[in-house]
Amino acid sequence: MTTQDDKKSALVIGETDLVANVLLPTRAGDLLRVRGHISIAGITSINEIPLFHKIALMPMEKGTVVMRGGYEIGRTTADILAGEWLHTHNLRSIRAGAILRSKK
Amino acid sequence: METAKLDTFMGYERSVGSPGIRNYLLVLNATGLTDATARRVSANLAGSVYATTMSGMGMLGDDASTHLAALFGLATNPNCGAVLLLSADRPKSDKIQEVLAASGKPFISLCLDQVEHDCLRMTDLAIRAGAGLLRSLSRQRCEQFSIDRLCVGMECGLSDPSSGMAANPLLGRVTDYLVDAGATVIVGETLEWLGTETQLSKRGATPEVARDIVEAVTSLEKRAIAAGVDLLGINPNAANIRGGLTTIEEKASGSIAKSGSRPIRSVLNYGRAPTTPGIHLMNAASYTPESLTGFVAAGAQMILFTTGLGNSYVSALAPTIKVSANARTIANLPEQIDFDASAIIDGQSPDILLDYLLSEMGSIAGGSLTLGEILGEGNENISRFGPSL
Repeated sequence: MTTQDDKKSALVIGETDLVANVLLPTRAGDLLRVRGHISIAGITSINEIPLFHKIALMPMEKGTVVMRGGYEIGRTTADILAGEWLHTHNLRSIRAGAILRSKK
Repeated sequence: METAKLDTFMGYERSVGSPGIRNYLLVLNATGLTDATARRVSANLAGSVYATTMSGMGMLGDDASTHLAALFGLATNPNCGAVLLLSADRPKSDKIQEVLAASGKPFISLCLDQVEHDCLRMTDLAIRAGAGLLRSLSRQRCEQFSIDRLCVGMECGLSDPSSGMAANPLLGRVTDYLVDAGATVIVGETLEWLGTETQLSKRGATPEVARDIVEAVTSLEKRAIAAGVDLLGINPNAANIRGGLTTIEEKASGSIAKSGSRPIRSVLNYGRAPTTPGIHLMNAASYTPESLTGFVAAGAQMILFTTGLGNSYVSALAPTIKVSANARTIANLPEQIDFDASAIIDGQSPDILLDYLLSEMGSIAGGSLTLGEILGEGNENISRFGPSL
């Protein structure tokens, strides 16, 4: 049985992942349990994070290649704190960027 | 703790190739002119499945050869114990009959020129012929086979965040399990590799496979650009981004998760059978009705198909297990989702879900029906690769 409280958690899908997906809409200051391939007792969300969006599991410098599900999903465009929401404002595709550069 | 691993499955022995998990009579229609007749025939033969092509004359080059190879593949799919072949084109029919003869499979062929182009006489003769084939088929019994004789196709359709987070990674675990046990798995949908092709190519078993993976994506991207479509500009789309997908790599990795983590043995052309066990990629259209037929023509006996929002399409020849991790979809579509993987989203260990799914696969192989089979949602549709004359 899982309770509503148990669901206030985030799911990691790869062993080398730096991010997890929140399983409920999350408010700043919420303490989340991290499950899946990596178990972490608690990580505190810094931002409001929409359902299923990504939370950083550890601090990352600007330019860090972010792993999720065993794949590189992009590069950070700013310094990231543990517990921060990762999305289009601070994470960018490497593949799409490479194509744009080659077109110039 | 006892786990329900899948070491063996129940199947029907074939004189050549892998065993089937069903013992269908395939009514195979090879020309557009005979489609209505063949459909009528199949509807009158309980225990038959139907596959057709509306294309025939005027096909060229790769389009023609791939189409014919796909028809050969459907004719010899292990789930069909016998074939009733209907056609208006004798040379095409002769080629399919040669392949059927080599397979050792019982078959009867009827061409329109044998019945003075009378489609009603063809209907009558075909139903009688099919009844005889079905009677013989029904005498065959299941036997136990090692899991390495199984070939499974992995598909996703109408995906949502639950697909990339839970359902597709679960299929990836099934893939790794099957590959480690010596079975064969096929993953298609070239479009969905876009963004991960360089990373995916590192899993290529040889440098040639690695090159084929990148080349399949590059050539697809070029075709799209030539048609005025910037795939990287429109992916992920606005709905994807709202759902939490940030980059094309993330979107693709959620789909390609179905392929697990083992070395990729080859990149198959559409409908072509793998020549070794292991995980193979099929360079093929992402559109489900074309993709599934590619797997089935390549010899897949079973399909695992994840969906986020619901997708009732299944293969006619290969039992298709619908898997969803979206609890709302499962509640909304209880007669269309075969396997509930939503416990992963609730925090349940994916290892336990893997055991449940393997057990369900064993049950379906042994004769339990998928909802798609019960509802008759099955279809086959061969991809086209160029215009007809």
